[in-house]
Amino acid sequence: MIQKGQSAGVSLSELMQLDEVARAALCTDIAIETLASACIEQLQGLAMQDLEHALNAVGWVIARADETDSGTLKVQARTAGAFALSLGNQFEEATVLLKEAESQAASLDDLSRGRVAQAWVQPLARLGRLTEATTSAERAIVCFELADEYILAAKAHTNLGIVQRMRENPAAAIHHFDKALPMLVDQPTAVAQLQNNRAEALLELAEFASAERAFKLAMLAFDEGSMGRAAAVAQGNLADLLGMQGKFAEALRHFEHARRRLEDGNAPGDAARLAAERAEVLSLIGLPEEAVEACLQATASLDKTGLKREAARARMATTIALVRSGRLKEAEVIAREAAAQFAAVGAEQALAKANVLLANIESRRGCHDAAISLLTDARNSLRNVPIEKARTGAMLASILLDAGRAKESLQEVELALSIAEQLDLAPLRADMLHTRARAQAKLGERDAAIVSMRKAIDEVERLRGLLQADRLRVAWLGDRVSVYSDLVSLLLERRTEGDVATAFEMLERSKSRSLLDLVDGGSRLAESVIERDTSDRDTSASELVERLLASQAELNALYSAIDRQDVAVQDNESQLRSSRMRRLEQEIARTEGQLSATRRFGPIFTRSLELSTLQRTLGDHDGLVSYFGAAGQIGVLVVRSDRVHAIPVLCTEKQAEALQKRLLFQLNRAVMSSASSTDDERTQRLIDRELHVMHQLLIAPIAGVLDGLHSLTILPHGRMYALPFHLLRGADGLLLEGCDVSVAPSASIAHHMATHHRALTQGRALVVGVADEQAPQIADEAVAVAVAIPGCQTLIGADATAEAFLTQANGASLIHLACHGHFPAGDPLEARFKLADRWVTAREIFALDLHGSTVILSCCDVGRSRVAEGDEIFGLTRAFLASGVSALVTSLWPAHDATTRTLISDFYKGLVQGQSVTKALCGAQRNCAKRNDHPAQWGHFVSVGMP
Amino acid sequence: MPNHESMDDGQRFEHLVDLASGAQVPDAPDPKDASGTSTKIVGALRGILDSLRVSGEPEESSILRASSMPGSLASRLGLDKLGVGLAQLVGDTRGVVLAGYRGAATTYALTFTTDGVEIHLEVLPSEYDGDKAEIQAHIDTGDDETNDVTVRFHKTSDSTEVSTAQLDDGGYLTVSLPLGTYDMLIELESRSVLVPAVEIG
Repeated sequence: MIQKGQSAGVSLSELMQLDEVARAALCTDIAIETLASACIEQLQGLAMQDLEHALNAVGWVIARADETDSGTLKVQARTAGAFALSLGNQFEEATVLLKEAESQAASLDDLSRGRVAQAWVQPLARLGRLTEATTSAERAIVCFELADEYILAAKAHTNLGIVQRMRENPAAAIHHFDKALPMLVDQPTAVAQLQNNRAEALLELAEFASAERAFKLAMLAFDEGSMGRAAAVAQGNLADLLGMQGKFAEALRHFEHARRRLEDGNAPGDAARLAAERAEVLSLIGLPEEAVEACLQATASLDKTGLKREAARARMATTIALVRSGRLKEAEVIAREAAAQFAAVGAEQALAKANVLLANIESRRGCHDAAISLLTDARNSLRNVPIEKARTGAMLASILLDAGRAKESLQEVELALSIAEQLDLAPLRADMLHTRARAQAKLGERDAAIVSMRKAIDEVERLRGLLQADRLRVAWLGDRVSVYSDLVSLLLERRTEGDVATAFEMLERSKSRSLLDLVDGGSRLAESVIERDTSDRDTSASELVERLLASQAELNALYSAIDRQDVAVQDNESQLRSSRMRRLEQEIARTEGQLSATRRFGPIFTRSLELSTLQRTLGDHDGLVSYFGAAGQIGVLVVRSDRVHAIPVLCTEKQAEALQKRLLFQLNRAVMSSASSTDDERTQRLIDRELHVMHQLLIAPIAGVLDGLHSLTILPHGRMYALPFHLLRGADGLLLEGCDVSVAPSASIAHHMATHHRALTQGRALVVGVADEQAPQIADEAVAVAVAIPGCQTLIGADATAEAFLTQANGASLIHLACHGHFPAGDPLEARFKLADRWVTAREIFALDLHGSTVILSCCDVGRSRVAEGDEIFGLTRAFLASGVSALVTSLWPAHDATTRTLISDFYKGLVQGQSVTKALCGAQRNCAKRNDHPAQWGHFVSVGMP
Repeated sequence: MPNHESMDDGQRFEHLVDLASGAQVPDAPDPKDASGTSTKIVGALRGILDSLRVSGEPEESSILRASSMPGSLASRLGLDKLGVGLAQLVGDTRGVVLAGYRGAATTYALTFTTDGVEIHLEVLPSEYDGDKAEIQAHIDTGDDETNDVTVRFHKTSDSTEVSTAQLDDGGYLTVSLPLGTYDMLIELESRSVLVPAVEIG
């Protein structure tokens, strides 16, 4: 601590922690010039390290300088104060001080005038007054050189370089940075700032390797100087660069580290800018909704801090995300706001970029001519910025193709592709290769199109390999799944030798691919999210885990308070609870996202199944039907042990969805009618009609190939996951009556499940039953199952607590669960079943080790899933498959208590006799059909896996 | 004073038409509740009209006469739609627990019928917008009379048309509506059906 009267030991930081009286008392014996001089010297350094205290000190330091007779000290105090204020984004306040300083410096020496001119540069530049900022920087250089202050002149060159960057002249910027660099070798902090800015300029010139090196050097230098905030900005820039190159996981990791460096809240502008840049990467990966939310928050914050350029850039990021989400109207409004902001600060190239976005919006509205015109103008303005030239060219090519101008599209994309190749812009290259392939296909160059498609897929796969979090892989592939389906269509059209096998392989790569990674990787990935990783040196990771666990615990407590009436009845209390639950769910998703950026996930990738391997697995009477979507159409591939049959177009996706909706509507009606004891004769007639219509659409065209099959595995596409395929009714009756039917997300997953199956005898069985007044037969069912499987563990009634279940489920060879279930469509990872004390959610199932287990879910709705692009299913089915089950029976709609009790009894008779899960289930369902039970009461059960 | 007990449906209808059009006055008019009396008359008219439609068409001229009540009142009471079959609510699953099922319903259903036509509506909360709901409907005419059928949704409060949809070939439609109460007018090939006061939300 400083002592009264010890002028040499004055510490501005410590002084500012005292109250006014104590501070004055401590300074009484220090000569005012000495005190002012010492404080001015320290103010700039304090601003870099502890902005809050520095901002508090500005007025006090100026007051001390004004107590002296020294004009130089008065000027220096104001320039140092302006520096601190600028750092705190208080630019207008900074300019007030600088005007005072300027007038005081008029009669002083070159050095003083140079200092004032130098101090003007940042606030002017940040306020968008770039011409004045340039003049000030140039004046500062001249003054410093006249005063023989070459280090200061170098710093002024650095500033001028920064302004040149803002004037969209990166080459001039680098010229000034390179002039400054040799003179600053002994100034590590200045070198760090310079390297960061030089890297940004290099990035604009698409000199990626040099830019990456410069950012890393800057980060290191800032860290060594304990300048956390500056290091965060450099790290954010590095992340931005990595994202552009398709190194998404690395980019998100750097963003997360940078975000944490700014968590103290002292730099809201930088934090918001970082958030906007991160959102751009999220958009690129395929998570636009998440990006929109982040961007809107960032924009509001940047508007508040007056950072116009950054705010405009955040608006651009918002627009990109909104366009990708299909929210064109909102996107247009925000893009126009961004354009106006760029126009206001004279940023012509940025304005052109905003026009590129507006062109994209026009094109998506089908206004191709307007879009092409906007893009052509924008491209002209951006011709000297290689990245933008490539991006604009790619977009133009895509729009030309949509406008039916395939030849011009091909020319444009070739040009853009050559730039992207040089720049190593991997994500853009993948998209361009796809556009090129589409153009070639349109022009009848099918073979060339197939080659281009495969190159595009190689690029998509390579980038996918760099993503380690499940969520990111789902989004990335989901956003680009049309490359695979377009290739499948071309291959099935050409059908030279090997094409069908390749088409099958491509389909497998595009169906539930991330789930396959989870299934094969088992619970390792899930565990690494939930459990603490002591090997992670980053201590904040364990804080995140703590936060995650706390949120999950609270959420589970809230779930346990829900009873079934809550779903329908919304009183005030339950609304408050729902609102809190939604907040917690968002918090959990956010924390998981942050966590995934801090962990070292081992790469868990699995090869998709090859056609020949599948065919070797299938018996003479087994078949597999894989539905797929391509360009709005649904096609199908039927695989038997000795042949493959393909129909590229069965119907349109819209047609299938509409008919499916009709069927599900009638099934739901039947359930409701049955519950309210109203007439069900009409519903039976209507259901039969829709089952027949659906059969005609999806099964009848392949009926000949299915002839003679005893078992059939169906791989649905998109919303078809909700379809009870086994109930579809042809002329010979239900599909189920001809063969055993199961479903699976992909052949690779089904094959994996089949090859990792554990027999019932290889381990213990666990039977869980929680009955209540609404579903009293659950108790009998659980007892009957326990009797059928001698030696099993039972958790019935009050014993069936969540903790007991989660503990005993691990490692069980068979789990039978009879209880209530619920599927919240809005948040499928909160799909859940109700045990004695609380609900157990899909999130918790991910953490279980159920490798090789058979799981029977005798509950309502637990087989429902939300299906994302790439046929990735989200719900309890995903959770159980990811935890390693080898066979799963689940329910597509509410389970009728009494009929289920009987069906389950029949099912276990078959199972203990050695039948497969699918065979036993289908046998039990056939018995229901024979008894003329209403199909809505037993058709909800489906078997997931291979028969 | 007519003896209501001894009237058949046709005579009762004509009597009510007289009352609605002002040609006769009610037996015991209540000056404090003119609209209430009118509502009762219209209610009775509607009921009897449905019964007459089963046994034989009522006279078109009588319907016209009853509909000639002055503008806004006529519209408010639905007299201007007397030529339209009025569907009656026969099923409502709101508040019905799925007894005998291992779960809970997240939707509710309303079923209306009139003259061989059944209208079944399922109301789903919107996934993205809490102020809206998705309505799926199936209209079963029993004779596949679903080609070119237009369904209009009017706000019950002020008769503003808020949405129009066409039935598909199976008699289905899906529409998204803000929460509220709607009259649903189904324009079949040979007739129209009004489903009054459908509560959404």
